[in-house]
Parts: sequence; C-alpha cells; structure tokens
Amino acid sequence: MDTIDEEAAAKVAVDHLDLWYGDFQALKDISLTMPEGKVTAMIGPSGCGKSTLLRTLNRMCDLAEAVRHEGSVTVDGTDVFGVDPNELRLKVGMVFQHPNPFPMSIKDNVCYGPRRHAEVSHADLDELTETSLRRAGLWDEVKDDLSHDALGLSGGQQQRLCIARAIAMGPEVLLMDEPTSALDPISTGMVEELMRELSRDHTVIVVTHNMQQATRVSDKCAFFLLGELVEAGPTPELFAHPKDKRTEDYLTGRFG
Amino acid sequence: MADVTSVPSQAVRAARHARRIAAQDRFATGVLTAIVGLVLAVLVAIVGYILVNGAGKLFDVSFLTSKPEQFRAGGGIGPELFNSFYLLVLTLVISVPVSLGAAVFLAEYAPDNAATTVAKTAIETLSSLPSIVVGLFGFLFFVLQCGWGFSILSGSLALTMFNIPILVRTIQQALEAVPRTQRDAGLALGLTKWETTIHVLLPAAMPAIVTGVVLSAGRVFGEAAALIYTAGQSAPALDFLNFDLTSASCPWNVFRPAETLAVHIWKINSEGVVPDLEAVSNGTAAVLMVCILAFNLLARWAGKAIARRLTAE
Repeated sequence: MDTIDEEAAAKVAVDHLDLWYGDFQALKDISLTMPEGKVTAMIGPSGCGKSTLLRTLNRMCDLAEAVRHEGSVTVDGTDVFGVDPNELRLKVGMVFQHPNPFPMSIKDNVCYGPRRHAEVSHADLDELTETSLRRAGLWDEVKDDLSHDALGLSGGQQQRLCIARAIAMGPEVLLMDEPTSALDPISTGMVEELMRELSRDHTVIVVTHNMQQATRVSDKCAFFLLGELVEAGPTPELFAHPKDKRTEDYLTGRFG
Repeated sequence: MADVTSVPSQAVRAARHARRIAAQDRFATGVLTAIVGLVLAVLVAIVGYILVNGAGKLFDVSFLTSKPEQFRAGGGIGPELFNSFYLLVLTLVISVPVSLGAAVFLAEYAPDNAATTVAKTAIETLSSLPSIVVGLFGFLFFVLQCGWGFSILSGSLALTMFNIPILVRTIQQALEAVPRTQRDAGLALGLTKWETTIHVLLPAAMPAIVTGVVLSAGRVFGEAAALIYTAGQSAPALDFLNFDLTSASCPWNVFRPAETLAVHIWKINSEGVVPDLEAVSNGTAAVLMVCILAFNLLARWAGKAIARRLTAE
C-alpha cells in the first residue's frame, strides 16, 4: 500500500470512477487518492485518460457533451458532483497546458477571480497581487509595471501569471494540466520548482507527459493506460520498482 | 525493342514536368492578377464617376442642409440626410441588443440539437432574403396591419429585420473565434457561464463585434428597397425647434414619413421633374457613398482602437 497515504491524509479521493463520452469509456474503474500537501503526478501516453480524470476533479469535464459517470470523486470527503461546480472551482483551481491569461493587465489578471467573487478593497487587491505574484515567482520580473499587458509577457511568464491568478483565489487543490509542455526548458524548471513550493500550502495534482518531470516534482505518481489506472504509488518506488509489467515497459520507453 | 529508345528517360520526363508546372504557375498568376486588376478597375471607375459627377454638390453646404424642391432647381437633401442617420440610429438601437442576445445564445448556450440547427438555418436564409421582400413584408405588416403608416418606425423595423441576421452571424462568429482556453480560464476561476461570457468572451470579441456593427451600419445606411414601402418616399420639411412628437415636422417623431438618401436617388430618377435632376441625383449619390466609405474607415479604426485599449490598459 501507499506509504504516503498513511502519512498524509487523502485530500482528493477517486473511488471506482467510470466515465463515458457518449459511447466511449474514457475512464475505467479508477480508484486513487491524492494526499494533502503533496504533489501527485499522473502519467501515461496520450489518450490514456489522465487529463480527463484531472478535469473531472474540478468538473471541467462537465463542459463536454454527453458525459456521464459512475462512482465518486470527493474533495475533503465532499462529493464533487453534489456541489455547485462554480463553488467547487473556488476550492480546486486549475492551470492549463497553454498559458491563457486574459487580454488585460498583469494586475487585472491576478485580481480577476477575487474581484468577481468578493468585495475586496484596493489595498487588499494590491497586497493580494503582490503575494500571489511572489508565490508564483513572477513578482521581481513584473513589479515595476503591473499595468503592463499580460499578453506582452513571454510564454513562461504568462504561465506563472496563470498560476498567480489561480492561487489568488486561495484554492486548496491546484490542478495542472501539462503546465510546462508549451514552455522552454528554463521556464519549465521555474514552474517545476514552483510546484514543489506550492505543495506546502496546496495539494498539487499535475498531469505530465514528461516522466523526468514526474520524478522531479511528484511525491506520488499514478500511471494510466487506455483509461485504466495501472499502478500508483510513491514516486521513487514506482519508478524504481514498478509492480506491473506495463508500467515497467512504459517507464523504460518500450512503448508510449 | 525499338520502342525503348523512344521512351524519354526519367530525368527528361521530370524536367519536362517541372517546365510544365512552372508554366501553369505563371499562367495562373497572370490570370489571377488580371481578375483582380479588372475588379479594381471597375471599382475605381464607379467610385470615380460618382465622386467626379457629384463633387460640385458634395461640398455645397446649402445642398446638404436645405430641403428638396418639387419643381424648381436648387433643392437640397437636408431632411434626407437627417432621416438616413435617424433611421440608422433607431435600427441599431433595436437590432444590436437583439442580435447580441441571439448570438450569445447561439454561440454559448444553444444545445447542439435540431431546433438550434433550424434556428441557424433560418437566420442564414433571412440574411439572404432580398431586401424588396423585406420591404413588402414591412409594408403589409408594419404599415398596414399595425397601422403605423409610412413612418420611421415601420422603416427602422424593416431595416432591423434586414440587419439582425447579418449581425447575429457576425457576432456569433466573433464569439466563436475567442479561443476555448479563455473560456476554460474563466470557468476554472469559478465564474459562471454567464460571467465568463460577459466579462471574458464579450470583451475579447468586442473589436470584431464593433467592426461588424459599423459595417452593417453601412449596409443599412445605403438600403433603399426595404424602405420605399415602409419609411415612404416623402420627406416633410423638418423644424429642429419643434419638439411636438406628434407633428410631421418634428424631426424626432417616429410616426412621420422619412425618405432617406438612397430612396431619394431612386425617387427623383423615377418620377422627379426638377430641372437639375441629374445634379441632385449625382450629388446625393456622392454624399451617400462618402458616408458609407466613412463607415468602413470608422469600422477599421474602431476595431483597432478597441483591440488596442483592451490589451494596453
């Protein structure tokens, strides 16, 4: 059994989840827990269902047509399908594969969510902007011109801005869908470092194509194949001693 | 085996093929350039002809402000000019909000089912409806059935029918062009679909929407057929100090008949008896064209300015 799960409580728990897009079954009987305050990585070849599972955790999967599911997904013991999706997303933030800042200033991007959801004073917003940008490791690069257009930033800066925008909402869980696949190696390194730091205050769940990335950033790792969860466990253990032949084949590059 | 020598070698055939496709390329380029040249020549000829013939009247302030004459020379197009703009503004005031609502619904909310397909097809059909048909419908319904007579109200409602399908399509396309990632970003921040639409998608689509609205304004401004039987072919003299909304000479009265520039051109050419008919007609055409040109330039400028403001703040 997972040794991590015994140390840290499960923040997110997926229990016997099946999910279909129309007739296509994208997830088959998935049971997995994501420990609180840790980074959980989900790996596997394209189309294996890892992104679908990630998008189920904040119910972004609801957006597709004809989606149905069986089984349960809980955050802090609360069934995500039983709460309002917009409320759920305040608690479960998300960062996407391609940086998607809004076409507005850096500060407006960070303050966007909080402004929409709560009455916040200007002073609070200034402070929130600074803390969020600092925590996203972007503050020093942009502090002199917060009114600068966010689309004028580099790809890596835009992605860190999107992270700042997500954490400004104070989410407990942060989902990251291949957050570095559109970035250069230096920006990738920065974002990976961020994931480690963010996991002190947030439960981070990351989907990645990059197995080295999974070993660098994650505490727990889950390997998916064709909609099935093949194997999950503490990252070092999974990489060093995979229990399943398919995991071993994938990790050693024999297919994928 | 005599045939073998007459079959060209691989290299010779390849070279021949390369020459042939190069010639095809030159030929196609030549034909396409000629076609574009022809289109441009026609355009320049029409615009030039109208401007040259109407130049004398175009800068004549009294022509632009005075009322038309029935029998004498020297009449102006003041009321027609005002009517054109007033009808345009009323039409936009009605059609923009309706189109915006319909487009947002179709682009963001409408489920992908038979009813939506029917609605989309209906809108496309309506956008290619001949304007004279819209005009006759307006005559039967607004003018006669509703009893509003030849009036600005009847005219602007007919123009609205004519304008809505085009606007809906433009706005819908503008919304659909906003990348999916922007929608995801909004929703992932816990915004509702409505908030995402209002605060993320509409601002992002705004430059294209404004351009579309202004371009449609150009079409509406120059429309004649839909107005002949709805807004009427007479232009009562207007008294801008008259605020009695029931009076025919009150400019703002929506129940008065209102001939526009385009209708004026049609009318004086078909039944005008003034001696300077040709000069008036040419002058009106030039004014109309300059206005539409101005709308097009404004559309470009406004679209760019809004895009700049949205991204530069």
